[in-house]
This record gives sequence, C-alpha cells and structure tokens, in this order.
Amino acid sequence: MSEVNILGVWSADPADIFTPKPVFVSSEPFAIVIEVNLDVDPPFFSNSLTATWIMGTPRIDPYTTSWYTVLDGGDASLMPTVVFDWDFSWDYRKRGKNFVVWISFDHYSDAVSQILGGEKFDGLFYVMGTIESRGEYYFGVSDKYWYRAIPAS
Amino acid sequence: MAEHESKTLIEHLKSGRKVELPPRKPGNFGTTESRPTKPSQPADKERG
Repeated sequence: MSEVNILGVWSADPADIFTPKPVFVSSEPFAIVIEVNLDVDPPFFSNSLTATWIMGTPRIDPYTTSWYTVLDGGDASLMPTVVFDWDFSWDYRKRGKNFVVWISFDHYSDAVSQILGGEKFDGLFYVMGTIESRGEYYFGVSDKYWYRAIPAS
Repeated sequence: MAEHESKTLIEHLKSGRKVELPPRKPGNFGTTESRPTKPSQPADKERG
C-alpha cells in the first residue's frame, strides 16, 4: 500500500454512484467515480487533493470514426482522451480515510461535448482516475474501467 | 452528430470546412464517504 490508493474506478448513474454501470445511452445521466483510500497518519498529510477523471478511446485512426476535435483556427486533431480535474479538500481526520470522489453530467453526451467523430456515442471506451496530494509527493492511479456507449435512437 | 460534422478526421480535413472548437459542458463534482451501509444521495456537490 502507498499513501494514496485508488481502490476502484467505474462509470455509474449519478443517482446510484456506488453501483458500477457499464452501458450508457448518450441521453442518459453519467458519472465517473473514484474510490480512494488514504494510508497516512496525521499530521503529515494535507487535506488538499486533486482528482483527475480520464475518459479514453483505444481507437485512434484518422481513417475511421475515431474521436477527434477541431482547434481554434480550424486545425483538427485526433483526440484520444477527455480529461476533467477538480481541486478539493478531504478532512480525513474527521471523515475517515476511505471516500469516493465523482464527476457527473446530466447526459453522457455532455461528457464528450468537445468530441467529434462518428463513434462519439458509439463504441467501447474506458475511464481512469488519478489522485494527487497538493503539497506532498503522494499520488494514486487507477486501472481502466471499460464501458459501452450507445447512440440514442 | 450535426449534419455538417464529418464522421472521420480525414473527411473533415478534406472538406476544408471551418468548424469551431465544440464547447465543453460543465460537470458536477462531489465527495462522500465510501460505500455507505444504506443508499444515500451524494453529498458536497459543486458545479464546475
């Protein structure tokens, strides 16, 4: 065990974040949950953490319907990940060393709003999570959790 | 997918269309204690 351990990451319905959900229609609510364990002792650890959620596609090929985006000025680029981060505090002395940190969207389509490409809502993708302590060198990294996106009919 | 969007990057490049960077939609962030013994709503929401 290291100081910051990620016990799991999964996609979920925001109304039921503790139940992993591997299939989403693009119009459905969507969340990514990171489960964290802090294996630390006071007072050597700050409460300041940064969570990063990574959505990724394994298919990166300009001749297929892979994710891409258009940059200012009109340039376009393949875009294999969508990344969100959040600085937050977790007072583990009062609230315990095990917690989850999550990001949610009203619709799956909102999470990939910057993405273009034919398989934007159609394919197998993954989510990952990382946690960094701000002020120390501790960090944790998750494995990949795979999910399927389906276009709304 | 909007009608003007190309399905592949190559199609987009060949089209010569000028498309603006699609806007990013904000998410909601939150934390809560791990795996409560009974279901509960997530706490400490923040719009980001």
